[in-house]
Amino acid sequence: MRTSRELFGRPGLQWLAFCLGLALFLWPYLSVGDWPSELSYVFFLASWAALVLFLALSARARRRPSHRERPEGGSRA
Amino acid sequence: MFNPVSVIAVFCLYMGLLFILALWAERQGALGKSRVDNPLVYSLSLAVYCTTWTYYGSVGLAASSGLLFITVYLGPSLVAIFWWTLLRKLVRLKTAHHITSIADFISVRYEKSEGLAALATLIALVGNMPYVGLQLKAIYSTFGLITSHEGQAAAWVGSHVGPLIVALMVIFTIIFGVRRLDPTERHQGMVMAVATESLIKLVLFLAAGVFVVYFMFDGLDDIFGRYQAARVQGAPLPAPQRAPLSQWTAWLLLSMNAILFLPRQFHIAVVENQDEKHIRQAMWLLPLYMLLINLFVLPIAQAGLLLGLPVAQADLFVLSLPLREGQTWLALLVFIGGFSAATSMILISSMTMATMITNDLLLPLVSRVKRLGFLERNLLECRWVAVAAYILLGYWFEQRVGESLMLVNIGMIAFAAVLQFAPAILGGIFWAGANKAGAYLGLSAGFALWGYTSLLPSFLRSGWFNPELLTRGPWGIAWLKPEQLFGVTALDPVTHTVFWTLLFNLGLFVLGSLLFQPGQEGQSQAEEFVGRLLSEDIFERSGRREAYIELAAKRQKLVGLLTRFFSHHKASHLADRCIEAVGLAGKSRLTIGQLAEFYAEVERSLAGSVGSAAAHKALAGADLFELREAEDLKDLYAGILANLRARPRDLIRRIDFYQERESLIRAHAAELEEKVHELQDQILARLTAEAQLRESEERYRTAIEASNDGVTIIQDGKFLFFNQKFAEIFGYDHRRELVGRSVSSVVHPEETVPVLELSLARQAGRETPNRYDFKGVRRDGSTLWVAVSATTTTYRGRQVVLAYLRDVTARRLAEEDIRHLSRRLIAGIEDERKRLAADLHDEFGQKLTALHFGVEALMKSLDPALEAQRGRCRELIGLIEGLADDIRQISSELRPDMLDHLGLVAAMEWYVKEFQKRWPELRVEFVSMGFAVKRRLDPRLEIVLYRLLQEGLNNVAKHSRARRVTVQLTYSHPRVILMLKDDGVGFVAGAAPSLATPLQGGIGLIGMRERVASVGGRLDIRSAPGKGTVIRADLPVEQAQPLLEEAAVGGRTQAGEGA
Repeated sequence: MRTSRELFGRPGLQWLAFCLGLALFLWPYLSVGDWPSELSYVFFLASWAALVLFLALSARARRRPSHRERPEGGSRA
Repeated sequence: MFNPVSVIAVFCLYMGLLFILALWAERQGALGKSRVDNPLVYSLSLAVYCTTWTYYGSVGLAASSGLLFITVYLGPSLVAIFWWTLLRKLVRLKTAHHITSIADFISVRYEKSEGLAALATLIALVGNMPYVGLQLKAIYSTFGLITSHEGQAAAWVGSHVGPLIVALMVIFTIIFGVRRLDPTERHQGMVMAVATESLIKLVLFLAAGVFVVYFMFDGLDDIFGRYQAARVQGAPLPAPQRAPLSQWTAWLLLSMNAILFLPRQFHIAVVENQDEKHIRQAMWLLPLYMLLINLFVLPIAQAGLLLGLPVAQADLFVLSLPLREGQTWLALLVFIGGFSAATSMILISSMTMATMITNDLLLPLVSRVKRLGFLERNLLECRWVAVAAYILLGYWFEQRVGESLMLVNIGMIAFAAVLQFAPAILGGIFWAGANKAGAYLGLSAGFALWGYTSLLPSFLRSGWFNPELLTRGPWGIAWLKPEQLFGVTALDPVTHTVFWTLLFNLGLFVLGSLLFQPGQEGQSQAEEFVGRLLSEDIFERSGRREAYIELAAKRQKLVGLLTRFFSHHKASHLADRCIEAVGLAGKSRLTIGQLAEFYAEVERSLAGSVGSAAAHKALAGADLFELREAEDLKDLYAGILANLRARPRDLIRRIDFYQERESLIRAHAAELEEKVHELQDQILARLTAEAQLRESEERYRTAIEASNDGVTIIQDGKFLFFNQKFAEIFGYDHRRELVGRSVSSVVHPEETVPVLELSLARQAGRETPNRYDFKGVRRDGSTLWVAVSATTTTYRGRQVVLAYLRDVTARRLAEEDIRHLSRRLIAGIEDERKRLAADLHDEFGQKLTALHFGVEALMKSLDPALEAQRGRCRELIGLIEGLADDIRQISSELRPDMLDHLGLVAAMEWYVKEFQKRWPELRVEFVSMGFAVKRRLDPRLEIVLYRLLQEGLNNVAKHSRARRVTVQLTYSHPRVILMLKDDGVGFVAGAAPSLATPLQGGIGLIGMRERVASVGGRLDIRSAPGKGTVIRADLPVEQAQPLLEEAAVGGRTQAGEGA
C-alpha cells in the first residue's frame, strides 16, 4: 500500500485532480441555464472546498520526513 | 453620510496604523526575528490578487452574467495544484540569479537581453495602467457614495477627490515601499501591510455578506427562494447573460495566468518569497481565501436586484445595500475594506513598476546618453518620479477612457496584457529550445495584437479616434476590424483578444526558437533554467524504494574489506565515519539508493589513502551487492536515465561537456588562487612598506615637531611647510594662519626685499650666505631678530629652500648692550686720555716750563766762579727738558694734539716717524690715498683709525718679528680703509684672540675689533704661519648702521690667504 506521500507526490494524481477540478467547475456552466439554485450553489461551493482539502492534503504529504531533511537550495535568500 | 474630510482623515489614520505595523515588521526583520517569514503572511500577501475588482466588480459581474465571475478565482485555485513544481522553480531561479522583477526574469533567461527586459516592462506598464485606473475609479466612486457634500470644505474635497486620492496614493507608495534602494528588492514591511489588508478586506466583505444575507434577509434559502419566486411571477428581474464556453475558458485561462504573471503577483509570489516551504501552505490557503471572499458575491448580487437596484449600479451593491438600511458605520467599514483592496494593489504594483521602469527602461537609456549620467546617482528619486508617473497614468486612463467601461472590463484588458508573458516564461523554464529570438517575436506580436484588439477599442469607445475603425475596420477593410479580426465574429472581445494574441505569441515564440540558434550563454542559461528542479525531482522519485538491506551486515562486509589496508580499529572507524557522512547513522535498514551512496562514500575515503584506481578496484572486486540488490541498482539508474529523458549518447555528451567545463573551471580556479596568493603577497609587502613609511614619518615628524628651532620649507617666496615652533616664534597660535603666505609676512618691511631676494637667489642655485640674521615681525607687530641657517634641497621634484630659524632677539639685544657698553667704554677711555693729555700738557707742562725758567734764572744768577753749582743747574735744566719731552711724549701717546689740529693723515705721519725712531730695525711705509688737503673725518672715526694704527704697529713690533710693514690709508667714499701689512711670522687661523678666547695672544686685537665695531666698521685679519699678516679695517664715513650685519662678534678669519 503506498503511503500518502507517495500517492500525493505522483504527477499523475496532480493532473487527475486538475482535470476533475476543471470538470467540476465547468459543471456550473454546463448545467446552469439561469441563476443557480441554492442546492447548486452549495454543491458548487462544496466542490471548491474539496479542491482546497485536496491541496491541503497534498501539501501535508510533501512535508519531508524529519530524519532526513534535505537542504532545498535557495529557499532562504 | 459622512463628511469627506472625516473620511479622508479616517483613511489617513488607517494608513498611518498600517505604516507603524510595516515599520515594526521591518525592525523585527532587521533583528533576525522576521514576522513575515511564515506561510500565513505569505499566503495572505498573495491575496493582493483580490482588488476592488473582487470587492465591487464581482458583484457587478454576477448581477449581469451569473457565475462567470467565479472563473477569475477558480483559475488560481486550479493552477495552485502545480505550484509545487512551477512556483518552486521560479523561486529557486530567483534566488540563484538575484531576480527582482518579471522583466528581470525574462531578461535573465534569454541571454540577459536588455531589449526583452524593456519590452516586458513596456507591456507591464501599458497593460497595468487600466488596472490602476480601475482601483482609483472604485475608490472615488465609493467615496462619493458614502460622503455628503454639504459645506464648503466638503464640497471642495468632494469635487477634487480624484486628484486628492492620487496624491495620497503616491505619498503612501513612496513611504511604504520606495524609501530606500534594496538590492534584493524585498520589503518585509510592505508585505506585512499587504497581508494585513488582505485579512481586513476579507473580514469586512464577509461582514457585509453576513449583514445582507442574514440581517436583510433570512439566509441563503430566503434569497434564492424569493428570487426564483419573483422570476416565476414575472417580476422584471434581469436574467444573467449566459457566457459561452469560449468565454468561460478564456477567463479561466486569463486568471490562471494572472495569479503568477501579473507583475505585482510575481513580485509577491516569487521575489518576496522567504522560504519555498511556504508554497506548500499557500497552495491551499490562497484557494481557501478565494472561496471565502466569494461566498456572498452571488447572494449580494441577487439581493440588490431583488430590492430593485439597477444592474448598471451592481458594482456598488456591497456599499449601497448597507447604506439603504441605514447602516452607515457598516458602510464606512465596507468602504475601508474596498480602500484596503485598492491601496494594496496600487502600493505593490507601483513599487514593482517603478523598479522595472528604472532598471529596464531608464538605466539602459542613461548608459547610452552620457548627459543623463547624473540620474544614476539619484536612482531613488527617479523611482519616486516613476511611482508618481505610473499612478498618474492610471488616473489619466480612468478619466479619459475608463468612464465608459465597467470595472470588470477594465480588469480583463489588464489580464489579457500579462497573458503575453506566459509563453516566454513557461517556455523558458520547461523547454530548453526556447531562445531569445522566439521570445522577442512572441512578445512583440502578442503585445501588438493586444494593443490593437483590446486597448484600441476602449479608446475608440471613449471617443478618441474615429469610431468607424471599430465598425468598419481601418481603411474600410472588414477583416481588420479590431474586435473581429480576420472575420472571426463568434467570440466576445476578451476571448477574441486571448485567441489571437495567444495564437500569434505562442506560434511565433515556437517558430522563432526553432528557426534561430541561441548564443552560448543562451544555451547554458536554458539548461540551467530548465534543469533547476530536475535533479531534485529525479532523485526524489527514484529514491522512493523499500528499505530492506541490513546496514549492520553491509558494514561488517566493508570493514572486512578495509582491513586489507588498515588495522581493524581504523577500518571500523572509517566505516562509521562514512555512515555518518551520508546521513545513515541510527538506521537499521537501507534502500538500494542509500546503499549505493554508502559504498560511494567508502570508495571516496579509501581513495584518499590508496588512490582512486586501487580503491575502485578493491570495491568492484569485493562482490558487495547481492543479486536482488544488483537488480534494484540497475532499476534505479535506469529510472534516473528514463526521468532525464536523455538518450545515452546525449547523456555521455552532456557528462563530457560538464567534465570538460569542470576541468576548465578547476584550472581557472587554480590560476585565480595563484593570482590571489600573489596579490596577498603584494598586499603584505605594501602593508609592510606602509608601516615602515609610517614609522619613518613618525620619526621625522617627532624630530621636526619636537625641535627647539623653527623649521620651514620655502618655495617661490611662499611657505610650503613649517613646524609649530616656527609659528610660535612669530607669535601665531595655529600653523594654519601662515599656510600659503609669503615670506614677507614675517619679515620686517625694512628687510623684506633683501630677504626675499636672498631666498629666491638660493632657490635658483646662486651662491648666498647660509647663515644670517634678519629682523622679523611678529603677528602683533612687534619686531624680533631671527638667526637663519638655510640650504637648498628638492621637494616633490622642485628646488626649495630649507631653513632653520631661531629667535636671537635676546642675544642681539645683549650684543647691542655689549657694543653700547664697549662704545661707551672706548669713548670713556678716549675722554680720559684726552683729559689726561690735557692735564699733563696744561698742568705739568706749564709747571715744568716755569721750573725750567727758574733754574735757568738761578744759573744765570750764580757767580761764574761757582762752576760746580752752575754745572748742577745745567744738569737740572737737562732733566727738566727731558721730563718735558717725556710728558709731551706721554701726552701725545694719550691724545695727539696733531690729530685734533692737523688731521688724521698728519697725525699718522708723525706717529709713523716717532715709531720708526723707537724701532729703527723695522721699516715702516705710510701711504695715504684719496685724502685731499684738509679733508677731515668724523672725530670718532679719526681716533679709531689712529688707535688702529697704534695698536697694529705695536703688535707688529712685539710679535711679528717683521722687517717691513706697510700702512695704507685710503679714502673711497663712502668708506675709508686702513690696511697694515707686514712680512712677519704670521699666526695660525683661528688662533686670533676673540671674546670667546681672550687669553690667547692678548687683548689688543679684541680692542681693535671693538673699536671698529663701535663705528660700524668691519675688521678682517688674514694670516698664515710664515706668510705675514694683513689687517684691514673698512669703516663707513657716514657713521650709519649697516642694513645687514654678519654675526661679527668673533670676527672673521679667512684661513689660507697670505699677507
